[in-house]
Amino acid sequence: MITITYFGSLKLLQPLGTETLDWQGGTTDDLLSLLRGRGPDWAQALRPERVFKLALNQQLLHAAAPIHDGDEVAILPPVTGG
Amino acid sequence: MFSVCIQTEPIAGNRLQDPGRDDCGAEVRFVGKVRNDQKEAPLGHLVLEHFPGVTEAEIERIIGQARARWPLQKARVVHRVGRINVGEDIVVVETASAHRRDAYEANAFIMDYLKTEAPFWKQECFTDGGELWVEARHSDQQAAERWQGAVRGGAAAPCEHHHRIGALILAGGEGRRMGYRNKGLQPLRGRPLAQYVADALRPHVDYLAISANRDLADYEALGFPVFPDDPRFGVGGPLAGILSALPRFPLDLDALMVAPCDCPLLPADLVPRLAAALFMPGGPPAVMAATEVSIHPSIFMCRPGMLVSLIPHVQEHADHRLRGWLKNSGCEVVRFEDAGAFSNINDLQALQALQS
Repeated sequence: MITITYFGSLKLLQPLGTETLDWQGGTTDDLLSLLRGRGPDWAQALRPERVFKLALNQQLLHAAAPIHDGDEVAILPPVTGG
Repeated sequence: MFSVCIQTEPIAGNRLQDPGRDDCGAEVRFVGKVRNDQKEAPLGHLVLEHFPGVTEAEIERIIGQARARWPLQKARVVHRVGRINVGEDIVVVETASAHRRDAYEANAFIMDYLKTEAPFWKQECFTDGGELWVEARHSDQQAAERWQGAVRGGAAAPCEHHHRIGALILAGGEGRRMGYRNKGLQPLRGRPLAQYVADALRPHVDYLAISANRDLADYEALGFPVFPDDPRFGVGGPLAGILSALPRFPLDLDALMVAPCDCPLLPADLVPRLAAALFMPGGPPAVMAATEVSIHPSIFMCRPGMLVSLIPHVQEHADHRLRGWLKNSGCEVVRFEDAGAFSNINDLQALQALQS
């Protein structure tokens, strides 16, 4: 089981902002493909240029990384602070 | 005088005074506010979301980058989250330096990177009840990109494929042969020795810090973070300095560069040449500087992964010199022509000889 947190506009996909998912192993790229396969709105919202960064267990990632059972993955859309 | 604060409360109007310093010639305060630009309906308020822990760390990293580029005495970021009404402040960035140009540029740099790198998301809430997540702007991205390769002093971009390098100047020794004077602060033609080393490294690195154990305020005045030895690594010498400083470095570096504070004549191509050897395909985990006549283990660059072996090394070996650890780790040498460039100033006599 892994936990996924959605930030910013990605909350429109998952109004609770978070979900848990059974996880059989794989990388962050595998997770994004799986989520994009949920339907056109998911594919549209998570298209590569829309995903700013992913964080694994509160560490921002700069490349795909393996996700292990119990991990927390956060999906960050492009940022709009300041 | 370097801080990050993310808060739901309104940002106080008063700037933070620092009565401890009198060498601060310029202070810049930027305030970002919620404006009503009447896009679809009058804007009622914004709701700002952030990623607790990660956002703070990211802003600290941006401040660290600014400090590696400009000699700052202060950099303070206060960012509001939650509900913010039209006309209220969203963000305050304060920078201070000896001179106005550094304070202005560092302030703009921090703000440009904050807008494109720090995890915040804005939702506009209109008076008619509508809500809209704000889209990222291309112009903000361009504003941040203008800094890439723009290092203070107008030096060229470090290299085309940019590797992020963090540098540590070792100034933690007791200066025994210098009569226990703090070596890095000894003046050579009016400037401290450590300043020469910083000037050689800074154009080529993304982050620069100093490891020192005495006269910390004097080292901080050079404008870089200063980290004293952590007593947990009470092994003394350069390895303790590296172990103590590393946890404070940004996390996403591709390499660590280390140089001692007492080599004021380092060649300008030191960092680019070490980086080229380290990052070539199949390159070694570490490289050190050498000349025809000697090797210089205290001037080296390594990949971050190699540092994992440092704690076991200091636990298992009585010899805490850099040479032993680097040798065990498969470090290779990069030879430089000019043997004089690596002269280290060990005593007052050597310093005197250079003054003329």
